[in-house]
Amino acid sequence: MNLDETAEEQQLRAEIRSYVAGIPGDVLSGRTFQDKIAVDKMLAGGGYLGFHWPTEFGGQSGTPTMAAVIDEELALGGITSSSSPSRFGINLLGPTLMEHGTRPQIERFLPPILRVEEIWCQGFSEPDAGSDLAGVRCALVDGDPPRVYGSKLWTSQANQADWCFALVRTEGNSRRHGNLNFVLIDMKQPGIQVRPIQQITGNAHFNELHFDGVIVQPDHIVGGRNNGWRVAMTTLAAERTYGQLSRFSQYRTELEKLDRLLERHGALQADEWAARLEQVRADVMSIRHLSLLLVSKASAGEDVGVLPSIIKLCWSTTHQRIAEIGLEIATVFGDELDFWFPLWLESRAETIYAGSSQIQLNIIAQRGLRLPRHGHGRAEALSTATKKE
Amino acid sequence: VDFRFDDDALDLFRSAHDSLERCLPTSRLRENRDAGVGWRQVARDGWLHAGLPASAGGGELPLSLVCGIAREAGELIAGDGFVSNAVLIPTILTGTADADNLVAAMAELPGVLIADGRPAAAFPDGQDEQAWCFGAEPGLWAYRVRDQELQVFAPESWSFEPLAGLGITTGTIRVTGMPDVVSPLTRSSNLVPGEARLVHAATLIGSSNRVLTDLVAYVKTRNQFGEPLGTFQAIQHGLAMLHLRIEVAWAATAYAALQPAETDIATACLHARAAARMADQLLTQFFGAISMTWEHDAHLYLKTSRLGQSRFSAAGTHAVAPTTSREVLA
Repeated sequence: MNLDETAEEQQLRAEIRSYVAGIPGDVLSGRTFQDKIAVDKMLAGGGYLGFHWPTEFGGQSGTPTMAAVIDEELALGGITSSSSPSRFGINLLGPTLMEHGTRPQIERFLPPILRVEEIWCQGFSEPDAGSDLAGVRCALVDGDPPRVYGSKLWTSQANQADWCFALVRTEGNSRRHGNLNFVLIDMKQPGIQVRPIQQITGNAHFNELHFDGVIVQPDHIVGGRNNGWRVAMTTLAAERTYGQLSRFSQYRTELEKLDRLLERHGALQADEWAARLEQVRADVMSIRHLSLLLVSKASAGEDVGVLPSIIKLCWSTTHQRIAEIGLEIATVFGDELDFWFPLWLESRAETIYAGSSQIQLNIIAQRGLRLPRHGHGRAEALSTATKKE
Repeated sequence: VDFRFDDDALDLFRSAHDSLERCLPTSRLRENRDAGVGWRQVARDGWLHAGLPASAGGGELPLSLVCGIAREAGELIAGDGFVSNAVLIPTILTGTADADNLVAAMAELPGVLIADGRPAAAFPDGQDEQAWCFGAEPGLWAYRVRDQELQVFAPESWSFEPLAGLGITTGTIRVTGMPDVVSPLTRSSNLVPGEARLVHAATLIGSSNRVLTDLVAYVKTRNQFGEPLGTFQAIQHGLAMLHLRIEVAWAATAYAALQPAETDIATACLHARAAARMADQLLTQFFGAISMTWEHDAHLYLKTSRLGQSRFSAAGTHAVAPTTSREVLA
């Protein structure tokens, strides 16, 4: 057990820090989607995008620890991985195709992701299938070619994406997991309607997607027909192995901003805020501790268990508390409201998306603590009673 | 970076648990049995000296492993005794004229510290009667610092009154005889080392984890409304949150053990207390009425845990508040 970075990791940290310092300030501070694409392209140019992908797929075979080092340094430089347009391709689709994709699928789709030439969005959630992923109803109708009908909801950057990986259901009697398909959909074709949804902050990062006879090329079904659940689980599992050191850096920066605000108004030692800040700083530290544990386990090839759910709960609730105290202080002094109020509003969503808090608690309880699912007891009692009869 | 305990460490913790469970079963507290023999055996097995220097017969284990052993002690309501015997008393002994011999001899004299354990900032000069002593059990020797000398009392030379008559191992120690051992202090130690607070945090995590383990086992088998209690989401989410609190606290403790900076220790203590508070709450709520009786061990955990948390509540324990985010999150 040690917290010392290897010489290789230290060198990587120094390199990425120097590389980020060389990115022009106007590129880093850009707020538009195209500005963020420009940042991704700069990172791709340095070989830092998809650094953790195996070399055979165009990456550098970086360990999870190295990926975490990059994430942390980028966030310190103001580049948060959660706002990278390439994140769906790099972090989710890439590892999924490496596991389940055919050679032609891999050769066709992975290189443009690394070059930031094709941007992806994720079509999992639907109007009637939010947390319950197996409730997907979007239909894949057989034909030549097969076509998709239905709707997807809360699809980030669908209005900007070139492609969408989506879960859709073939016809048949199978329910829940049985007839799902993981398909790749070209977003630049007729039959796709994208409706940006104005969010609580006035921005529109989410979209509603309507598919009306949208073509799916037969060779764009990943992992084989009706095998979509297994493929989607790989997608979700890939996400689970990433630490959250980027968020640690981001939250630290926000807390330092809050310190400066308090100092400006001579309130750094105010008792109530000091006590709450003490707690929230301890909570931010826990994101770092748990991320280090996660990447250590992932680097060693160990099962990470329910640690990703614990980390998700920690970062989402901690960020809400930072925003809460930040807004309170900003309100009292009438200062920096244009920063803290939108942050407070945006942070409300963090315990909903990427697996709601309730889903994460279910995962910890049922997979981590092995507590029985609801109905399990009745089924067992019924089975026992039947046997007795 | 490798922030995992390796297989050797996990084996070590299991061995410690086995030894502690064999020597110090929780029934000793229920029946108020003499615990001297059990504690001496734990000392002979090497667990109390695990983190001490080789010159004092110690195992020179790093603080992270000592915390792991402490966690196991906490599982068996032996946490306060472990903190006293593995950290606090040896810290005092190293300041005596005959340090190495005394520390080595401690294997035969495991004890309780006559000192108010709450402030966590000082070893006050010992009185004949001292309230808020932690880890007092029949059969232990008693240690105190008085007039710049260390005094050690045989088990029959002190008496114990549990706090409010209910404190289990926390309460008032009254000296009733003369010290059997006296050694002048050549170096006074006014500050409780940060390591002691961290080890204490680890014991609280162990206690909380034992509560979680027992509750999980209970709600899997206890049926209500035709279902095991554990199928209900209100129960599941409560236990999931406790698991989260324990993992957060343990990661913070392990981190602080690797580089014991004041802010990291304070952070670990804060998380350990949060986990313990939650364990206390769920312990009675989920076990239900039986936990409010002497017919179940729950009350032993509840009382020991809650009083133990008072060691963290004094000013100076959490040095985080007056500092800035940049310092804490460096």
